[in-house]
Amino acid sequence: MKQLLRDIQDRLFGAADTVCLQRAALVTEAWQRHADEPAPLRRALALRHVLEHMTIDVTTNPIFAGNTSSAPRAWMLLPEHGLNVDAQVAIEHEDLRGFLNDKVPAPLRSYWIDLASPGGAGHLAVDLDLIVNRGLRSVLDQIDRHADAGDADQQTYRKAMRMAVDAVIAWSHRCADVAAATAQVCDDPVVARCHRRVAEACRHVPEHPARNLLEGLQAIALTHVAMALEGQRLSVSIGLPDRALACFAPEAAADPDAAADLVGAFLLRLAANSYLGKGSKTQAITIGGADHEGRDCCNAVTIAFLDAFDRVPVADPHLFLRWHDALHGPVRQRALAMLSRGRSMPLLVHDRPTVCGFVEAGVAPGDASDYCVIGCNELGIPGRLFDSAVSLGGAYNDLELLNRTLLQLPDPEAIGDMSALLAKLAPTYESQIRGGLSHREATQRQMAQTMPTPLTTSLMRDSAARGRDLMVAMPYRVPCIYTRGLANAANALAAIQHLVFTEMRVTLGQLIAAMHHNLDEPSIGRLLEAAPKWGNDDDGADRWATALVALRRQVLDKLAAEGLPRPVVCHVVRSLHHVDGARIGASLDGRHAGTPVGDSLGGITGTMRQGPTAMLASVLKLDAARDFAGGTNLNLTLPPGQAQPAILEALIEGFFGDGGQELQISVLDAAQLREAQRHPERFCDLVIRVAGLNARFVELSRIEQDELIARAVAAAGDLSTISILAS
Amino acid sequence: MPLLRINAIQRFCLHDGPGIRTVAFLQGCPLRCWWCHNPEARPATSPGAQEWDVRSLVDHVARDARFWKTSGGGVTVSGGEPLMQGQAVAVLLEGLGRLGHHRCIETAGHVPLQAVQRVSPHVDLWLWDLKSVDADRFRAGTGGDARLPLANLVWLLRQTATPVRVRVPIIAGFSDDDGAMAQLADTIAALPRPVFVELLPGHDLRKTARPTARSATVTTQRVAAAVQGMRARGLSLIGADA
Repeated sequence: MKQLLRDIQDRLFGAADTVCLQRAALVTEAWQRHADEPAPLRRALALRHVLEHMTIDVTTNPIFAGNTSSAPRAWMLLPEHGLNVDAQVAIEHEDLRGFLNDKVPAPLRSYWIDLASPGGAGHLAVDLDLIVNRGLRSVLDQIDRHADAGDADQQTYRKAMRMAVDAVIAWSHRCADVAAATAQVCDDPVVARCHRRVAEACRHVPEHPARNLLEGLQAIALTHVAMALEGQRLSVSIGLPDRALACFAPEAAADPDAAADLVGAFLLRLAANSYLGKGSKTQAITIGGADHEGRDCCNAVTIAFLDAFDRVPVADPHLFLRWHDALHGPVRQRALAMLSRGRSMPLLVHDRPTVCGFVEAGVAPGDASDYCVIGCNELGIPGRLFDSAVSLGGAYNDLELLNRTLLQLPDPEAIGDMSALLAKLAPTYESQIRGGLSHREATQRQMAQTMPTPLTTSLMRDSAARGRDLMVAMPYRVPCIYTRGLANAANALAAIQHLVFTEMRVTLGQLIAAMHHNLDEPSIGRLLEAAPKWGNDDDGADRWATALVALRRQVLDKLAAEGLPRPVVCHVVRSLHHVDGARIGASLDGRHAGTPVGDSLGGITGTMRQGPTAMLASVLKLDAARDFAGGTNLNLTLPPGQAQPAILEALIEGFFGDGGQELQISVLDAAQLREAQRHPERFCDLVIRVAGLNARFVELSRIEQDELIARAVAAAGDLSTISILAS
Repeated sequence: MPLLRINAIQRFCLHDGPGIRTVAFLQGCPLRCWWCHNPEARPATSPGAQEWDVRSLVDHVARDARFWKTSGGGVTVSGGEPLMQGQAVAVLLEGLGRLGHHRCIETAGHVPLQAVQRVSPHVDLWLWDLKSVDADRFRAGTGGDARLPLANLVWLLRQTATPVRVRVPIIAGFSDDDGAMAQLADTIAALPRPVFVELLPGHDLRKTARPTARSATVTTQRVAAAVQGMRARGLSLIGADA
């Protein structure tokens, strides 16, 4: 088994980025053929056409079936949502910039050029318990039960759901047939046995409840891949597999090594799925946590997932562990050991503030305790609540809003104090957030109308009764706003307070004039550099981060009073700190025009001079449960010599104990990273956490590699003690 | 409230006592060790030093108390030589003790006995640097009197039950030869009660602009020899180099 895993891994990681045109061609055919059908049926027909005709690949990974493309990591194109390389992917992998330009046939590109629309939300997790323990047959039963309920649109939508679910079941049987036929001609008895097991599993799941761990994982893999093929533009997350598979914990406990290998093969199955080749980054898996009565939910499957991530160096999917006071000891120890060794996983989420945040947003406690990560760091509830990626139009960057306000001040010298400045900032925030929420609603309606996803919808809880697309009908609908740039904006405000109003070294007008000239006056640059900085537990700087969050809260209160839904807010970056930074001019945190903004809710790299405890103390001044209920990304970077498991545990417990919410711990050695730049062939297994994604270091662009090296250098510098031999 | 002259305050220190610690490096030291990494802390006053009243200092360092609690850490008062400001240090430690925080002193002990006596009721763990017990060697390397720190240490071990870690810097050309190490090990083994021993292999910090070209860096072989010598006398070593 271990050799087989290594072979699968080698095949996967050795594969160059290519394009698979199968899905794009099949969807286009179906789209043309069924032009007169209502959108939900047209979409279901397209999925059925894809599942009926896609090449089924059971040899690349003989342990689990379910492929999005004809070759591992070959790009599965979604022409209905556009044929451009995502801006973030182009930053993370510079070799992929313009990758699709010469790989998409002209007729295909021209057909979709005016038809492509937003859609394929991704950033969601479906009801895994349904998939593993009840089976898709139960979904069909539910659809049939409600077939005639509601209006014509709902009935049509249910028809589409039924067609999509039927197509998945038929596809699983086709996978079984291919696996069985492949077993017949396979010379290797070990591999042949794998094919026979796949055949047996795929005849049974996901149609019926899984009977063992392999079938449970196979059911998840098949439905997950089917959703991707349906058109989830961004990745779907897995949810809480250790809970859905808990009934197979005795099997995992009986042979933990075999269970970890099996989960490892499952991870490699997911890693081969590809919308963007190596640029795919957002399939989150969440394990651990407590139920609504505080009982730990860990079991032998939880441990199998941790061990599997420890054995198989996948970057995507990435693993989150839900931390809580009663977290199972062996799970805690394994997680700490992995982090200490620099695995950069699991990422950590703390139950208490996260559940509180959802409850405050109107979610029942029993549902809130089922939360999971649904992307980079975004939070949702499997099968019940998601609302993240679709709200991209509602995103704002604190620094951008501050810059806009400053540059539009008619008379900067008339601003007499910081309160006056914040008063000028408030309308900018209100306008941005109001526009964002409105845009978000419109986008969701458009997506439901033009690019619905009946299969994915059918896997949401009670969706048959609703008979409407997930974009407009979920058990909970809580809008979400993305924010970034808080650290930069806080630093800029701290500099204004310090230099203009406290020390009176310069006027606000002079600082704004310097912004126009990209801070090219060295004396201004030095003053800004020396001003207090967020992330050092310095109240003089930190108060401005809390002030900006309070300002946003006031705006949301005002909008809620008008009857608008109150959104949750997430601080999620991935590589958008580069995208944002490219369009934001020079700023008074000392940042030059076009350079990245902060990559985390913590301080800016190189400005955290008081070490990690001070950075965490700064972040704790924000109220995560109230103000970042949608999730946050917070980098904590340590050099290897400072990352013993006991120290990590103390940092985690100290931070989470006082209300901290998410923590992504990276143990980075600058010398090792530089060596990996020079000799990438020696570091193929080195997986690191960037801002909101995991990646194999050697596959990253130079700009992201250098960013990580800078973080490693800064972390080592922050920790340099004066001397142990000083006396 | 008495004032303390502080050279630097460092959070998240992992090598100056148990757990995660905040270290206050006090200004002023009576010794002139040639390998000193922090010579700016030697003078009693310095342009870079800050004066803190004890109450403010307690509040400031306690910002990391959440991490002390989860790691078994606390505060370490170091230097310079912290016992040169014994009066104020005693008040500081007493204040921290009232809040339940763990307190370490890192000292070379080259001070009048009264300074040790003043702070000793308020110390939870001593980190006692024993550089050499040879009078000539000590004077040549540090400018001080080897008898003073040893006598103070003996008093401490006899008169109190407070845990003591003896920290032995192994400095190339000063304390890394067999004779020096044997003498130190014999002395430690003969102390009035058992102590843990922590070896601190000397190294040069690149950022240090040391006026001398001498290197403090010891070879791993010499460190191994020191470990062996200590163990041969039944001494309990702690730390990564043990």
